[in-house]
Amino acid sequence: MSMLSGSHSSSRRQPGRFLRLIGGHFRLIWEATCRLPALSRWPVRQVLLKQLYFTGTESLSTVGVVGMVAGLIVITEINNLVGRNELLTIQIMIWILVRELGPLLTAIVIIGRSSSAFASELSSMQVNGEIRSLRYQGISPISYLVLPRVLAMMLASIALTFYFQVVAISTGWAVTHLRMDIALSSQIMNFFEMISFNEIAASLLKSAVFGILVSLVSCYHGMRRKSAMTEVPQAVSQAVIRSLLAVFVADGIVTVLAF
Amino acid sequence: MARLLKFEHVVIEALGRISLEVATGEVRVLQVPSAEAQLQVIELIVGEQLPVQGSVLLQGVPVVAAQPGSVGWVPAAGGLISNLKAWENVTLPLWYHGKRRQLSETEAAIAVLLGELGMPQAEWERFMASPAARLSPPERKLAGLMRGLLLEPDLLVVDAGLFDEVESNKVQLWIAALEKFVRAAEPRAVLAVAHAPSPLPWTRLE
Repeated sequence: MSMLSGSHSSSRRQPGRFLRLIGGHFRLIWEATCRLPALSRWPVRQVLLKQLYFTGTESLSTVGVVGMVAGLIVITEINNLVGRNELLTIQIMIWILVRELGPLLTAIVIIGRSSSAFASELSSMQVNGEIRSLRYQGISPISYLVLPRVLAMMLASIALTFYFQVVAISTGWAVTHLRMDIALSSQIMNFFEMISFNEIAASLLKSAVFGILVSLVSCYHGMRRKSAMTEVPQAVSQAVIRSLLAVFVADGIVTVLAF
Repeated sequence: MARLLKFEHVVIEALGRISLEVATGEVRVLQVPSAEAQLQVIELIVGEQLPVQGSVLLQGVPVVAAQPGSVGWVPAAGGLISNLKAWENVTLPLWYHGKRRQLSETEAAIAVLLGELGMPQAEWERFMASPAARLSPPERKLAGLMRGLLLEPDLLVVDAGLFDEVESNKVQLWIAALEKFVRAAEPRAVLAVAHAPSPLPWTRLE
């Protein structure tokens, strides 16, 4: 009986816990937005540059390889499906690589690389009392730790998505040229005629939203109060899983609204 | 002497009601009975906690309304950010609070501090370029002390545990540097907060 009543009260607590979680994320992004003027402080800009390098520059090779392989796989399947139909090939390539896979696979690479790093770094700082030490020195952890990470991940996500798309589409053109003997110049011209501003804008919007979501979820789980190092791996795994969930849900919403 | 810090009938859970004053130019030790009381006193002085009763004033205004960077903090273990180098740790509050001077001026001030605090000149470069995680415990304490002194706050709060497990000749140098810091300009004061009997030579606050 007690077990049953325990499970009832636990299930009653779930919606409240979920709402607190969502509320916590909204509060964090609101506080970070209110502290945008902190970017005028030199140490905050230094963290922004470091994070841009870490999330952006250091991910280039991984995103490049993933983009090339994704381009190869997608175009091979399209070629098998539509044969030498050049216009349809390009249209499907835009749908899959520009609208969907570009932002989504880039976000997954960023989650694997930076989400776990953000969460573990901030969690360790929390456990070691470094965040408290910052506060005692009058340094806002939101301004110094969260704001530059959110901004850096958003900017890096946009740039990496664009880079992914360039690599994947170039690979697609090259493979189509080799397999189907369709001239590269013709493919490029048709691509730029067919792609619309709406598709580019939606793709950029998705990548910006994914960057903000991943950084927010990671920072939230990293900054939560912890008392022992054993809580760090839990925070990291929650950050990764919830970042993935947030990205897929956001992808669904933006796709439905934009297309 | 002008009053710098004033605790006016402040009620602290672990300590009861306290009133105290630290004047400009003073170096004082406040001894409290427990680590919990020490934490609460420090949080009240740095503005992290608001008093439930009474008021904590810095130069006559509530400490939470004081100019950012007017209270400095030196933790017992240095309180460094482990993924920053010693140099970045030492200059972080200074530059965050907009007290940034010319780089050459900051470097010169750091060189003077390193000399005064007993760091051999041959070690300066290695020390400043080392990530905090690679510094020895006394070096972390030294970096924390330098960070507080470099900020040049009106009131520098020091955890008395800073001087534990440090060679006695270095402790003497650090004490001298804190006393010099207070004499160097106005308004300045140092308050060491201890939760265990402290051998520090400064006058105890009653």
